[in-house]
Amino acid sequence: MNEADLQLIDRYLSGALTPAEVQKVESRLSEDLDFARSLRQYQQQDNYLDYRAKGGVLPSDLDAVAADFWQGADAESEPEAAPTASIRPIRRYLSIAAAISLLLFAGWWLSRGSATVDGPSLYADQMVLPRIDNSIRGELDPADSLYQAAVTAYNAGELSTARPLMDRYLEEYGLDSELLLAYAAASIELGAYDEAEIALRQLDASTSLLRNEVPFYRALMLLKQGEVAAARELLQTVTNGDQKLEDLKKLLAE
Amino acid sequence: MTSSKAHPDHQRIIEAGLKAGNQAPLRDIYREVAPDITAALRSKGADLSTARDIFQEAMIVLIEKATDPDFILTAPVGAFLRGVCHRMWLSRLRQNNRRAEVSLDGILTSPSEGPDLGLEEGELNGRCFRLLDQCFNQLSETCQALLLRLKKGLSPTEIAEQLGMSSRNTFDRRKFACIQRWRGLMQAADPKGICQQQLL
Repeated sequence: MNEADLQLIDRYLSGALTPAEVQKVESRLSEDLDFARSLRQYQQQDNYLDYRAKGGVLPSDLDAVAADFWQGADAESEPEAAPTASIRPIRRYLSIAAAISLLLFAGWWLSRGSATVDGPSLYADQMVLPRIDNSIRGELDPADSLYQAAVTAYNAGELSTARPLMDRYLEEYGLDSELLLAYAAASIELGAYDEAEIALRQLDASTSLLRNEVPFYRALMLLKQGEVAAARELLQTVTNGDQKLEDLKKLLAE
Repeated sequence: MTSSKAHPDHQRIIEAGLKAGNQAPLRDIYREVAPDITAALRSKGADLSTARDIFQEAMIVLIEKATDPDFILTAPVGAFLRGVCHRMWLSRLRQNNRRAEVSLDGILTSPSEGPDLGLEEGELNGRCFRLLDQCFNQLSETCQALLLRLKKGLSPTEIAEQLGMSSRNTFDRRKFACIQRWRGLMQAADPKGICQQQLL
Protein backbone atom coordinates (compact mmCIF):
# COMPACT_ATOMS: atom_id res chain seq x y z
CA MET A 1 0.00 0.00 0.00
CA ASN A 2 1.57 3.26 -1.05
CA GLU A 3 1.24 6.58 0.73
CA ALA A 4 -1.09 8.01 -1.93
CA ASP A 5 -3.58 5.18 -1.36
CA LEU A 6 -3.29 5.59 2.39
CA GLN A 7 -4.03 9.31 2.06
CA LEU A 8 -6.96 8.51 -0.20
CA ILE A 9 -8.37 6.10 2.41
CA ASP A 10 -7.84 8.68 5.14
CA ARG A 11 -9.69 11.33 3.18
CA TYR A 12 -12.45 8.88 2.23
CA LEU A 13 -13.08 7.86 5.83
CA SER A 14 -12.97 11.42 7.10
CA GLY A 15 -15.49 12.55 4.46
CA ALA A 16 -13.07 14.89 2.73
CA LEU A 17 -13.61 13.59 -0.82
CA THR A 18 -15.91 15.03 -3.46
CA PRO A 19 -18.93 12.89 -4.52
CA ALA A 20 -17.13 11.96 -7.75
CA GLU A 21 -14.03 10.86 -5.80
CA VAL A 22 -16.19 8.87 -3.39
CA GLN A 23 -17.78 7.05 -6.30
CA LYS A 24 -14.35 6.25 -7.69
CA VAL A 25 -13.13 4.88 -4.35
CA GLU A 26 -16.26 2.77 -3.90
CA SER A 27 -15.96 1.35 -7.35
CA ARG A 28 -12.33 0.43 -6.64
CA LEU A 29 -13.32 -1.16 -3.32
CA SER A 30 -15.58 -3.61 -5.11
CA GLU A 31 -12.84 -4.62 -7.55
CA ASP A 32 -9.57 -4.41 -5.65
CA LEU A 33 -9.39 -6.84 -2.72
CA ASP A 34 -6.05 -5.50 -1.42
CA PHE A 35 -7.39 -1.97 -1.42
CA ALA A 36 -10.53 -3.11 0.42
CA ARG A 37 -8.40 -4.95 3.02
CA SER A 38 -6.22 -1.91 3.47
CA LEU A 39 -9.27 0.22 4.12
CA ARG A 40 -10.57 -2.25 6.69
CA GLN A 41 -7.17 -2.41 8.37
CA TYR A 42 -7.02 1.38 8.44
CA GLN A 43 -10.45 1.41 10.11
CA GLN A 44 -9.19 -1.08 12.69
CA GLN A 45 -6.14 1.06 13.40
CA ASP A 46 -8.43 4.06 13.69
CA ASN A 47 -10.82 2.26 16.07
CA TYR A 48 -7.87 1.11 18.16
CA LEU A 49 -6.51 4.66 18.41
CA ASP A 50 -9.92 6.00 19.30
CA TYR A 51 -10.32 3.39 22.03
CA ARG A 52 -6.80 3.90 23.34
CA ALA A 53 -7.15 7.69 23.29
CA LYS A 54 -10.19 7.26 25.56
CA GLY A 55 -8.06 5.20 27.94
CA GLY A 56 -9.69 1.85 27.11
CA VAL A 57 -8.51 -1.41 28.65
CA LEU A 58 -5.68 -2.98 26.64
CA PRO A 59 -4.45 -6.59 26.29
CA SER A 60 -1.56 -5.93 28.66
CA ASP A 61 -4.05 -4.73 31.34
CA LEU A 62 -6.04 -7.87 30.75
CA ASP A 63 -2.99 -10.11 31.15
CA ALA A 64 -2.20 -8.47 34.47
CA VAL A 65 -5.77 -8.97 35.75
CA ALA A 66 -5.75 -12.62 34.58
CA ALA A 67 -2.40 -13.36 36.22
CA ASP A 68 -3.64 -11.82 39.45
CA PHE A 69 -6.94 -13.69 39.36
CA TRP A 70 -5.52 -17.13 38.57
CA GLN A 71 -2.76 -16.71 41.12
CA GLY A 72 -5.41 -16.06 43.77
CA ALA A 73 -7.52 -18.99 42.55
CA ASP A 74 -4.51 -21.33 42.59
CA ALA A 75 -3.51 -20.20 46.07
CA GLU A 76 -6.99 -21.04 47.34
CA SER A 77 -6.77 -24.57 45.95
CA GLU A 78 -3.16 -25.10 47.13
CA PRO A 79 -3.96 -27.39 50.10
CA GLU A 80 -4.88 -30.08 47.55
CA ALA A 81 -1.33 -29.93 46.24
CA ALA A 82 0.25 -30.28 49.69
CA PRO A 83 1.04 -34.04 49.50
CA THR A 84 3.77 -33.39 46.91
CA ALA A 85 5.78 -31.73 49.69
CA SER A 86 6.08 -35.05 51.49
CA ILE A 87 8.16 -36.76 48.78
CA ARG A 88 10.97 -38.53 50.60
CA PRO A 89 14.38 -36.86 50.20
CA ILE A 90 15.94 -39.90 48.51
CA ARG A 91 13.30 -39.77 45.77
CA ARG A 92 13.92 -36.05 45.34
CA TYR A 93 17.68 -36.62 44.94
CA LEU A 94 16.99 -39.33 42.40
CA SER A 95 14.73 -36.95 40.48
CA ILE A 96 17.41 -34.26 40.51
CA ALA A 97 20.06 -36.73 39.36
CA ALA A 98 17.78 -37.91 36.55
CA ALA A 99 17.13 -34.32 35.48
CA ILE A 100 20.86 -33.53 35.44
CA SER A 101 21.56 -36.66 33.36
CA LEU A 102 18.83 -35.64 30.95
CA LEU A 103 20.28 -32.14 30.63
CA LEU A 104 23.77 -33.50 30.02
CA PHE A 105 22.43 -35.86 27.39
CA ALA A 106 20.46 -33.05 25.73
CA GLY A 107 23.57 -30.86 25.73
CA TRP A 108 25.61 -33.63 24.12
CA TRP A 109 22.86 -34.32 21.59
CA LEU A 110 22.52 -30.68 20.54
CA SER A 111 26.25 -30.08 20.29
CA ARG A 112 27.21 -33.33 18.62
CA GLY A 113 29.00 -32.77 15.34
CA SER A 114 29.61 -29.13 16.13
CA ALA A 115 32.53 -29.65 18.46
CA THR A 116 34.87 -28.08 15.91
CA VAL A 117 32.66 -25.06 15.23
CA ASP A 118 32.83 -22.12 17.56
CA GLY A 119 29.77 -19.96 16.82
CA PRO A 120 31.10 -16.53 17.87
CA SER A 121 34.42 -17.13 16.07
CA LEU A 122 32.70 -18.21 12.87
CA TYR A 123 30.42 -15.17 13.20
CA ALA A 124 33.44 -12.89 13.50
CA ASP A 125 34.97 -14.46 10.36
CA GLN A 126 31.84 -14.36 8.27
CA MET A 127 30.02 -11.20 9.33
CA VAL A 128 29.92 -8.72 6.48
CA LEU A 129 28.28 -5.39 7.11
CA PRO A 130 26.52 -4.65 3.80
CA ARG A 131 27.98 -1.40 2.46
CA ILE A 132 25.62 1.30 1.26
CA ASP A 133 26.51 3.48 -1.70
CA ASN A 134 25.02 6.90 -0.98
CA SER A 135 26.83 8.81 -3.71
CA ILE A 136 23.73 9.04 -5.90
CA ARG A 137 21.68 10.86 -3.28
CA GLY A 138 21.88 14.60 -2.86
CA GLU A 139 20.98 16.71 0.14
CA LEU A 140 17.77 18.05 -1.26
CA ASP A 141 15.48 17.74 1.72
CA PRO A 142 15.52 16.68 5.38
CA ALA A 143 14.96 13.06 4.39
CA ASP A 144 18.15 13.02 2.36
CA SER A 145 20.25 14.73 5.00
CA LEU A 146 19.03 12.26 7.64
CA TYR A 147 19.80 9.40 5.25
CA GLN A 148 23.27 10.81 4.54
CA ALA A 149 24.04 11.18 8.24
CA ALA A 150 22.91 7.61 8.97
CA VAL A 151 24.78 6.06 6.07
CA THR A 152 27.96 8.07 6.59
CA ALA A 153 28.14 6.94 10.21
CA TYR A 154 27.30 3.36 9.22
CA ASN A 155 29.89 3.15 6.44
CA ALA A 156 32.48 4.56 8.84
CA GLY A 157 31.72 1.71 11.23
CA GLU A 158 30.19 4.03 13.84
CA LEU A 159 27.31 1.69 14.40
CA SER A 160 26.14 3.06 17.74
CA THR A 161 25.73 6.48 16.11
CA ALA A 162 24.27 5.09 12.90
CA ARG A 163 21.60 2.82 14.39
CA PRO A 164 19.33 5.45 15.95
CA LEU A 165 19.60 7.60 12.81
CA MET A 166 18.70 4.64 10.62
CA ASP A 167 15.81 3.78 12.92
CA ARG A 168 14.52 7.36 12.69
CA TYR A 169 14.83 7.42 8.93
CA LEU A 170 13.01 4.09 8.53
CA GLU A 171 10.24 5.25 10.80
CA GLU A 172 9.82 8.69 9.28
CA TYR A 173 10.29 7.88 5.62
CA GLY A 174 9.18 4.30 5.27
CA LEU A 175 10.72 1.12 4.00
CA ASP A 176 14.16 1.33 2.39
CA SER A 177 15.26 -2.28 2.05
CA GLU A 178 18.96 -1.51 1.69
CA LEU A 179 18.94 0.55 4.86
CA LEU A 180 16.75 -2.00 6.64
CA LEU A 181 19.26 -4.78 5.94
CA ALA A 182 22.12 -2.57 7.12
CA TYR A 183 20.11 -1.74 10.24
CA ALA A 184 19.58 -5.46 10.92
CA ALA A 185 23.29 -6.18 10.46
CA ALA A 186 24.27 -3.28 12.72
CA SER A 187 21.79 -4.47 15.35
CA ILE A 188 23.27 -7.98 15.27
CA GLU A 189 26.77 -6.57 15.58
CA LEU A 190 25.69 -4.53 18.62
CA GLY A 191 23.82 -7.44 20.19
CA ALA A 192 20.35 -5.88 19.75
CA TYR A 193 18.88 -9.19 18.63
CA ASP A 194 15.17 -8.39 19.08
CA GLU A 195 15.45 -5.29 16.90
CA ALA A 196 17.50 -7.23 14.35
CA GLU A 197 14.84 -9.94 14.17
CA ILE A 198 12.05 -7.39 13.68
CA ALA A 199 14.00 -5.73 10.84
CA LEU A 200 14.76 -9.10 9.22
CA ARG A 201 11.10 -10.07 9.38
CA GLN A 202 10.10 -6.79 7.78
CA LEU A 203 12.60 -7.35 5.01
CA ASP A 204 11.47 -10.95 4.58
CA ALA A 205 7.87 -9.78 4.20
CA SER A 206 8.83 -7.21 1.54
CA THR A 207 9.14 -7.76 -2.20
CA SER A 208 12.78 -6.62 -2.25
CA LEU A 209 15.40 -8.95 -3.72
CA LEU A 210 17.42 -8.29 -0.58
CA ARG A 211 15.08 -10.59 1.31
CA ASN A 212 17.29 -13.41 0.00
CA GLU A 213 19.92 -12.15 2.42
CA VAL A 214 17.67 -12.69 5.44
CA PRO A 215 18.61 -16.35 6.17
CA PHE A 216 22.33 -15.54 6.04
CA TYR A 217 22.04 -12.76 8.63
CA ARG A 218 19.62 -14.76 10.74
CA ALA A 219 22.14 -17.63 10.81
CA LEU A 220 24.93 -15.22 11.74
CA MET A 221 22.79 -13.88 14.57
CA LEU A 222 22.43 -17.43 15.91
CA LEU A 223 26.15 -18.11 15.57
CA LYS A 224 27.01 -14.95 17.47
CA GLN A 225 24.90 -16.27 20.33
CA GLY A 226 26.66 -19.65 20.14
CA GLU A 227 23.64 -21.49 18.72
CA VAL A 228 25.56 -23.48 16.13
CA ALA A 229 23.08 -26.36 15.81
CA ALA A 230 20.17 -23.95 15.29
CA ALA A 231 22.12 -22.03 12.62
CA ARG A 232 22.96 -25.27 10.82
CA GLU A 233 19.35 -26.41 10.97
CA LEU A 234 18.13 -23.07 9.64
CA LEU A 235 20.48 -23.12 6.66
CA GLN A 236 19.67 -26.72 5.74
CA THR A 237 16.19 -25.63 4.70
CA VAL A 238 17.28 -22.68 2.52
CA THR A 239 18.57 -22.54 -1.03
CA ASN A 240 18.29 -19.21 -2.76
CA GLY A 241 21.48 -18.85 -4.79
CA ASP A 242 23.16 -16.52 -2.29
CA GLN A 243 26.88 -17.40 -2.42
CA LYS A 244 27.61 -16.18 1.13
CA LEU A 245 24.88 -18.47 2.38
CA GLU A 246 26.26 -21.49 0.50
CA ASP A 247 29.77 -20.81 1.85
CA LEU A 248 28.44 -20.59 5.38
CA LYS A 249 26.55 -23.85 4.91
CA LYS A 250 29.79 -25.58 3.88
CA LEU A 251 31.66 -24.19 6.87
CA LEU A 252 28.95 -25.41 9.20
CA ALA A 253 28.91 -28.83 7.58
CA GLU A 254 32.65 -29.34 8.15
CA MET B 1 -27.74 -9.98 14.43
CA THR B 2 -31.24 -10.95 15.51
CA SER B 3 -31.74 -8.01 17.82
CA SER B 4 -29.92 -4.74 18.34
CA LYS B 5 -31.29 -4.16 21.84
CA ALA B 6 -28.43 -3.73 24.28
CA HIS B 7 -28.30 -6.00 27.29
CA PRO B 8 -27.81 -4.20 30.63
CA ASP B 9 -24.27 -5.63 30.67
CA HIS B 10 -23.49 -3.44 27.65
CA GLN B 11 -23.66 -0.35 29.82
CA ARG B 12 -22.04 -2.08 32.78
CA ILE B 13 -19.14 -3.62 30.93
CA ILE B 14 -18.56 -1.96 27.60
CA GLU B 15 -19.47 1.65 28.29
CA ALA B 16 -18.74 2.10 31.96
CA GLY B 17 -15.84 -0.26 32.15
CA LEU B 18 -13.69 -1.21 29.22
CA LYS B 19 -13.93 2.01 27.24
CA ALA B 20 -13.08 4.05 30.31
CA GLY B 21 -10.03 1.95 31.17
CA ASN B 22 -11.58 0.78 34.41
CA GLN B 23 -10.21 -2.58 35.51
CA ALA B 24 -12.86 -3.26 38.16
CA PRO B 25 -15.40 -4.68 35.63
CA LEU B 26 -12.67 -6.97 34.34
CA ARG B 27 -12.00 -8.37 37.77
CA ASP B 28 -15.77 -8.85 38.23
CA ILE B 29 -15.97 -10.82 34.99
CA TYR B 30 -13.13 -13.11 36.02
CA ARG B 31 -14.67 -13.69 39.42
CA GLU B 32 -18.21 -14.24 38.09
CA VAL B 33 -17.64 -16.41 35.04
CA ALA B 34 -14.03 -17.54 34.57
CA PRO B 35 -14.11 -20.54 36.94
CA ASP B 36 -17.34 -21.98 35.45
CA ILE B 37 -16.33 -21.49 31.84
CA THR B 38 -12.84 -22.92 32.27
CA ALA B 39 -14.29 -25.86 34.23
CA ALA B 40 -16.73 -26.51 31.38
CA LEU B 41 -13.89 -26.44 28.88
CA ARG B 42 -11.89 -28.85 31.00
CA SER B 43 -14.86 -31.20 31.20
CA LYS B 44 -14.75 -31.31 27.41
CA GLY B 45 -11.09 -32.29 27.29
CA ALA B 46 -9.12 -29.05 27.51
CA ASP B 47 -6.22 -29.09 29.94
CA LEU B 48 -5.95 -26.37 32.57
CA SER B 49 -3.55 -24.19 30.62
CA THR B 50 -5.55 -24.48 27.37
CA ALA B 51 -8.81 -23.68 29.15
CA ARG B 52 -7.32 -20.53 30.69
CA ASP B 53 -5.69 -19.60 27.41
CA ILE B 54 -9.00 -19.89 25.57
CA PHE B 55 -10.78 -17.84 28.21
CA GLN B 56 -8.09 -15.15 27.93
CA GLU B 57 -8.42 -15.05 24.14
CA ALA B 58 -12.19 -14.68 24.55
CA MET B 59 -11.61 -11.73 26.89
CA ILE B 60 -9.42 -10.14 24.22
CA VAL B 61 -12.23 -10.61 21.70
CA LEU B 62 -14.51 -8.80 24.15
CA ILE B 63 -12.18 -5.82 24.53
CA GLU B 64 -11.54 -5.81 20.80
CA LYS B 65 -15.28 -5.53 20.27
CA ALA B 66 -15.33 -2.66 22.76
CA THR B 67 -13.14 -0.71 20.30
CA ASP B 68 -15.88 -0.95 17.68
CA PRO B 69 -18.31 1.92 18.18
CA ASP B 70 -21.07 -0.06 16.45
CA PHE B 71 -20.82 -3.12 18.67
CA ILE B 72 -23.77 -3.77 20.96
CA LEU B 73 -23.64 -6.48 23.59
CA THR B 74 -27.05 -8.12 23.28
CA ALA B 75 -26.49 -10.99 25.72
CA PRO B 76 -25.17 -11.21 29.29
CA VAL B 77 -21.40 -10.94 29.25
CA GLY B 78 -21.07 -14.47 30.65
CA ALA B 79 -23.13 -15.88 27.77
CA PHE B 80 -21.06 -13.90 25.29
CA LEU B 81 -17.79 -15.27 26.66
CA ARG B 82 -19.20 -18.78 26.93
CA GLY B 83 -20.22 -18.61 23.26
CA VAL B 84 -16.81 -17.30 22.18
CA CYS B 85 -14.97 -19.94 24.23
CA HIS B 86 -17.23 -22.59 22.78
CA ARG B 87 -16.39 -21.60 19.21
CA MET B 88 -12.70 -21.28 19.96
CA TRP B 89 -12.62 -24.72 21.51
CA LEU B 90 -14.41 -26.22 18.50
CA SER B 91 -11.95 -24.46 16.25
CA ARG B 92 -9.01 -25.97 18.15
CA LEU B 93 -10.58 -29.40 17.98
CA ARG B 94 -10.97 -29.08 14.25
CA GLN B 95 -7.34 -28.04 13.98
CA ASN B 96 -6.30 -31.07 15.98
CA ASN B 97 -8.54 -33.41 13.98
CA ARG B 98 -10.12 -34.56 17.16
CA ARG B 99 -13.69 -33.59 16.45
CA ALA B 100 -14.94 -37.14 16.12
CA GLU B 101 -13.51 -38.15 19.47
CA VAL B 102 -15.37 -35.73 21.69
CA SER B 103 -18.89 -35.10 22.72
CA LEU B 104 -20.20 -31.68 21.76
CA ASP B 105 -23.19 -31.57 24.05
CA GLY B 106 -23.91 -29.28 26.98
CA ILE B 107 -22.48 -25.81 26.62
CA LEU B 108 -20.43 -26.91 23.66
CA THR B 109 -23.26 -27.54 21.23
CA SER B 110 -23.75 -25.95 17.85
CA PRO B 111 -22.38 -22.44 17.31
CA SER B 112 -25.70 -21.44 15.83
CA GLU B 113 -27.42 -22.13 19.14
CA GLY B 114 -27.22 -19.87 22.15
CA PRO B 115 -27.14 -16.08 22.19
CA ASP B 116 -26.29 -13.94 19.22
CA LEU B 117 -22.72 -12.73 19.76
CA GLY B 118 -22.70 -10.10 17.05
CA LEU B 119 -19.55 -11.71 15.71
CA GLU B 120 -18.48 -13.10 12.39
CA GLU B 121 -16.47 -16.33 12.44
CA GLY B 122 -13.35 -14.48 11.30
CA GLU B 123 -13.50 -12.15 14.28
CA LEU B 124 -12.96 -14.96 16.75
CA ASN B 125 -9.30 -14.33 17.12
CA GLY B 126 -8.12 -12.07 19.89
CA ARG B 127 -4.55 -12.46 18.72
CA CYS B 128 -5.03 -9.86 16.00
CA PHE B 129 -6.05 -7.19 18.48
CA ARG B 130 -3.10 -8.12 20.65
CA LEU B 131 -0.87 -7.80 17.60
CA LEU B 132 -2.29 -4.36 16.80
CA ASP B 133 -1.52 -3.31 20.37
CA GLN B 134 1.95 -4.86 20.53
CA CYS B 135 3.00 -3.30 17.23
CA PHE B 136 1.66 0.11 18.25
CA ASN B 137 3.78 -0.12 21.39
CA GLN B 138 6.86 -0.72 19.22
CA LEU B 139 6.44 2.64 17.50
CA SER B 140 8.59 5.50 18.71
CA GLU B 141 7.25 7.80 21.41
CA THR B 142 6.88 10.54 18.81
CA CYS B 143 4.77 8.36 16.54
CA GLN B 144 2.58 7.20 19.42
CA ALA B 145 2.14 10.76 20.67
CA LEU B 146 1.32 12.09 17.21
CA LEU B 147 -1.34 9.49 16.48
CA LEU B 148 -2.93 9.61 19.94
CA ARG B 149 -2.97 13.41 20.17
CA LEU B 150 -4.63 13.57 16.79
CA LYS B 151 -7.27 11.17 18.09
CA LYS B 152 -7.72 13.28 21.20
CA GLY B 153 -8.77 16.15 18.96
CA LEU B 154 -5.66 18.33 18.86
CA SER B 155 -5.13 20.08 15.56
CA PRO B 156 -2.26 19.07 13.29
CA THR B 157 -0.70 22.50 13.77
CA GLU B 158 -0.78 22.18 17.56
CA ILE B 159 0.71 18.70 17.43
CA ALA B 160 3.40 19.78 14.97
CA GLU B 161 4.39 22.57 17.36
CA GLN B 162 4.37 20.32 20.42
CA LEU B 163 6.49 17.67 18.71
CA GLY B 164 8.92 20.12 17.15
CA MET B 165 7.92 19.61 13.53
CA SER B 166 8.70 22.47 11.25
CA SER B 167 5.56 22.51 9.13
CA ARG B 168 2.15 21.02 8.46
CA ASN B 169 3.76 19.25 5.54
CA THR B 170 6.23 17.51 7.82
CA PHE B 171 3.35 16.55 10.11
CA ASP B 172 1.40 14.91 7.27
CA ARG B 173 4.44 13.07 6.02
CA ARG B 174 5.28 11.85 9.50
CA LYS B 175 1.71 10.80 10.20
CA PHE B 176 1.51 8.54 7.18
CA ALA B 177 5.02 7.21 7.76
CA CYS B 178 3.97 6.27 11.31
CA ILE B 179 0.86 4.49 10.05
CA GLN B 180 2.91 2.70 7.39
CA ARG B 181 5.49 1.68 9.98
CA TRP B 182 2.73 0.31 12.19
CA ARG B 183 1.34 -1.70 9.28
CA GLY B 184 4.85 -2.88 8.39
CA LEU B 185 5.43 -4.13 11.91
CA MET B 186 2.12 -5.98 11.81
CA GLN B 187 3.00 -7.51 8.47
CA ALA B 188 6.39 -8.59 9.81
CA ALA B 189 4.81 -10.14 12.90
CA ASP B 190 2.10 -11.85 10.86
CA PRO B 191 3.95 -12.92 7.69
CA LYS B 192 1.18 -15.31 6.62
CA GLY B 193 -1.31 -12.45 6.76
CA ILE B 194 -3.75 -14.33 9.00
CA CYS B 195 -5.09 -11.10 10.49
CA GLN B 196 -5.28 -9.56 7.00
CA GLN B 197 -7.25 -12.52 5.72
CA GLN B 198 -9.82 -12.26 8.44
CA LEU B 199 -10.55 -8.65 7.64
CA LEU B 200 -12.81 -9.52 4.75
